[in-house]
Amino acid sequence: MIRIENLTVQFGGVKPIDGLTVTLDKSIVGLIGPNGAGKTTLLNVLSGFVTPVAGSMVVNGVVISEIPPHKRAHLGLRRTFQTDQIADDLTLWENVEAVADHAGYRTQAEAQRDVQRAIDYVGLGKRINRKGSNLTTGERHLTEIAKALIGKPQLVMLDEPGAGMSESETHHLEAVIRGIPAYCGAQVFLIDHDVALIVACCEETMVLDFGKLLALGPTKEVLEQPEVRRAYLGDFEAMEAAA
Amino acid sequence: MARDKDKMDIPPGTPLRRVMPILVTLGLAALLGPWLFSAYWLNTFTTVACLALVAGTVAMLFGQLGMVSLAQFALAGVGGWVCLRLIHGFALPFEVALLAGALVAAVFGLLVGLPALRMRGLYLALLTLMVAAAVQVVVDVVGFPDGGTGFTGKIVAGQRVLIQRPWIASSDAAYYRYVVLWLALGLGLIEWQRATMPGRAWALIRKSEAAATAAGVSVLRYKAWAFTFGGFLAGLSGGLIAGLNGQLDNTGFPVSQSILLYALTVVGGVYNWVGVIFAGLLVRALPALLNDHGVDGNLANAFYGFALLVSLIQGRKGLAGQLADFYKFVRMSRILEGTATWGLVSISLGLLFAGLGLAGFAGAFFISLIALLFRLVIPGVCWLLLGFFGKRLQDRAEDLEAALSLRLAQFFERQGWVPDHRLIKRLLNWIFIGVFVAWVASGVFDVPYAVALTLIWLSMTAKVGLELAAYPRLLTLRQRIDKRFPKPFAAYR
Amino acid sequence: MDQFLPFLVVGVSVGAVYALSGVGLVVLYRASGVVNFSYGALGGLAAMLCWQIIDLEYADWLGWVVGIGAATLLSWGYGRFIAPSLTHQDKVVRAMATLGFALLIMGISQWYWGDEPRRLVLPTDSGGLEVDGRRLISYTRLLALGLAAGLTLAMLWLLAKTPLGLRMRALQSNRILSALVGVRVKRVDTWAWVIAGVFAGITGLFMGNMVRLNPIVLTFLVIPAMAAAVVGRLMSLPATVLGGLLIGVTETLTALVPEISRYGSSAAFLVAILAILWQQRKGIGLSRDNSHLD
Repeated sequence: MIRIENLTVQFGGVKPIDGLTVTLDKSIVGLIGPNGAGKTTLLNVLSGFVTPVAGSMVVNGVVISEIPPHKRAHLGLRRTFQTDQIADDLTLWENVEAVADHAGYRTQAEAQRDVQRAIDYVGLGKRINRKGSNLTTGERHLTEIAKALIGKPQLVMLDEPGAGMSESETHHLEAVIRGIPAYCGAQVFLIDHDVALIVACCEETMVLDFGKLLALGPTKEVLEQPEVRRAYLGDFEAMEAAA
Repeated sequence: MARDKDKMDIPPGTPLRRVMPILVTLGLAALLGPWLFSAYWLNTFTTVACLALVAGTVAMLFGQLGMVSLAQFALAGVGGWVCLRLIHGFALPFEVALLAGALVAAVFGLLVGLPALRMRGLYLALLTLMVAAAVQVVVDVVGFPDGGTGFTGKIVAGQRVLIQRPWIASSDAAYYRYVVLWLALGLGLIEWQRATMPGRAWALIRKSEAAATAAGVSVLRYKAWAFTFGGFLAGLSGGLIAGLNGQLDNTGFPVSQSILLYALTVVGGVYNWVGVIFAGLLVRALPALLNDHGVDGNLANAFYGFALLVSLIQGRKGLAGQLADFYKFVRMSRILEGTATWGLVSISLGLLFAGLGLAGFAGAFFISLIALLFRLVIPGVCWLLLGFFGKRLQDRAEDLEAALSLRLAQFFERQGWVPDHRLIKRLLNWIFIGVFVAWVASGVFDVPYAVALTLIWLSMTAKVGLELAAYPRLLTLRQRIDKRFPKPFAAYR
Repeated sequence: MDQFLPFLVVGVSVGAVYALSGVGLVVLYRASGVVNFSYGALGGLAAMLCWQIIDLEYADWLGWVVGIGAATLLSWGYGRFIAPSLTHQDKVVRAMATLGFALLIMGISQWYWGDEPRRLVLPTDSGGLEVDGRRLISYTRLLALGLAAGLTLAMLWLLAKTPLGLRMRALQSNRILSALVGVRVKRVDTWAWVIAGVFAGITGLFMGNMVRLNPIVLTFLVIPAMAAAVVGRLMSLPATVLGGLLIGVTETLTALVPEISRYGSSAAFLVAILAILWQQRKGIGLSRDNSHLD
């Protein structure tokens, strides 16, 4: 569960997040909003890369505001990035193993088992020896997700994981995302522009607009709200097609 | 040829498999060195080994983490200073002083580098450059300990005292082996780390510091560790240099040398331990060679600057990278066969000529080897000398050669003989290589021109003969080797 | 006070030249993202060429023109032909490439001119401001101070008020986007390199006059210049000037204290480290593109 209170972030004169207060407790929560609404900034704040000027964040009962970013990862806060961050010279296995190295396993065997499990879960079992530079975009995004599932993650934050994926890859991605809570018990926080993906995966959706909370609630209801449509979705047709 | 995307996935080796080549090669070098080289070259190669160790740290920092440290050689100076001071002041055993010097260098490096480690890579480059300059100034003023008392340990009046080498390694040959074994240990440790957890973390950091942090890697800690370890090995190397001559010179650690070491490590290749050896050779052996032939050291420096530019533009693989590519594209059986043939021919002809008193063994060996490897070495040399223009020039030269041999073949045809066109090309090649390499070799190795020429032609003939004789008989063996060591990119001619 | 003043004067004037070099470095960095290690080498070449021309009995001004012109030409050449092959690589690699360039120029200069002691004499050396019949500061040093102030102001004006400056700032902000909106990247880049070359030439002449006329020494005078740029965070021109002056003064004033007098030339390092520590006091965050900590 994520509890955010009065969160404010300021870059110079701009406030990407302005007095945000929200509690997210469903197992898969979506976040949508126009570009510049503060979505990635919120992720950055939660993962520790950006320091807020005011407000507090509590994840599963732990106040995370003072914890440095790499320690938040140890606590179980995982995230992916919009641009892929797979090491080119390492194989897929080694990429995921690198995360397992720091996940606090006591024995090598346990770590290897978890790595295998995560890779199999995202469906890349056949590619474990492929060098990072030879993976396709879709495979890269899935590897990023596998990396986020190592250890005992409590919160998995995905930043546009479907970017650049084909239709079939997106279907597979849907299945992967929907299965994460069952796989490791983590809450999922999903940012994406693909409304179909959000609808398919997320029980609850949050809408940000210029740093302020525009709506929060069950996905279908939120998408039907007029303010949300005005700010983000545009025409009725697009929403119909997605629903 | 297969493209990268279509290639077979090859599982990565275990850490031991990756470290083995280093230990084996350097072990062999340690063993055979004193038997192959004269005292002068032995000393040179000992220095080369020390420099290679420092270059190894530069390569580790730059190749694995993208960190440019221009202060590694200065840190060697620090390590050497501490080692000398401890031996002079406290009569500590060599190894203890050596390791203490390495430790101090490591800590010193970490202290001065830490502020910049947390910031952009550029700052580290700038800061380490300034550290190197500062160390040069301090060394200039304070000098290196040579038996005196007081903190600086400088003798005010009287004879300088040299330190003794460790008792197990007091002769030149023994010290050479000693140093090469330290080099093997250092490079081995670096490679071991590359193959295990630190290496994976470094790869993540190299790709993106943010992603590494998000994965739970403490970027600062890993950078600091790499920098400290690099400082440690560099300091170690400084102590080894001190042990070589018994002393260190005030002018021995200038900024220019630090910069040059960085430049030549990049030229040698930062992704491969072989590149590091090349770097050591380029820094030490090449200038000595050029000096012998009257080439001004400054022009050599200018050339190195150019080579650095070229290497960076072409992707930092360096000479070692080019070699590695070559390894990737050639069948294993061909490599083994080639190595066996060259080795056999060069060594036997070397022994023959040495036995007949026509030339020294080392000289004959290298002349023969160069002649045999000529066709392989030329692309690398062209690339190094001419950078971007090298490939074009080489292509033009080959076109010219082909045209010439075609003309000749047509001429012979008209006379009524019908030789194989390729035979003419081979013959031209043979003549050209003989004449040219003999000219270079006679200058470099002090061997009479006629002797060099005969040696070269004999080597090339012997190689062809050997191949013709053995090839049919070894076909099945070659096929078995190729199956055991598959090379997805090699052309199967 | 009396013995203090001459050192201060020397320190400030050398510092002014450092500051000027730093400004040239920072302007180039802001426009092209390259920290130019060959700055000192270009300056050294300019100084040596100038000396050579004067030595051959040609007019003084010809020496200056040729010197500064050569530095500018080489800098332009690098920016036009070599730098473009490197734009897709990261900043550190691009900076290291200029290091290669520096070695190249330094090697050739040192080979041609060697280590003979020489002096680069400027006509402004002979006169100076006099106070009570004693020379306070030579015209050369005054000129250096004046140029430092003037050219820095000129650069500030360039960056803030001219279209070229605007484009340079756009390039620094986001190169690819700038190209997409129609900024002629190559042309702006080239101008930046030309400006850098002019600065290098001018500062080279002054350093050759004030410090030492030796290719290697002049090449490594890029170090105090870079320290000044570090004080300015590679961004702010006024802070760079301050840094340069600080380094110059520190270097020269160490001569007053016998124990540390011979360490003067490591002042650059000291100032740079202090500056970095000061800049870090607020902690580290993430760069805009999430790719590195900054």
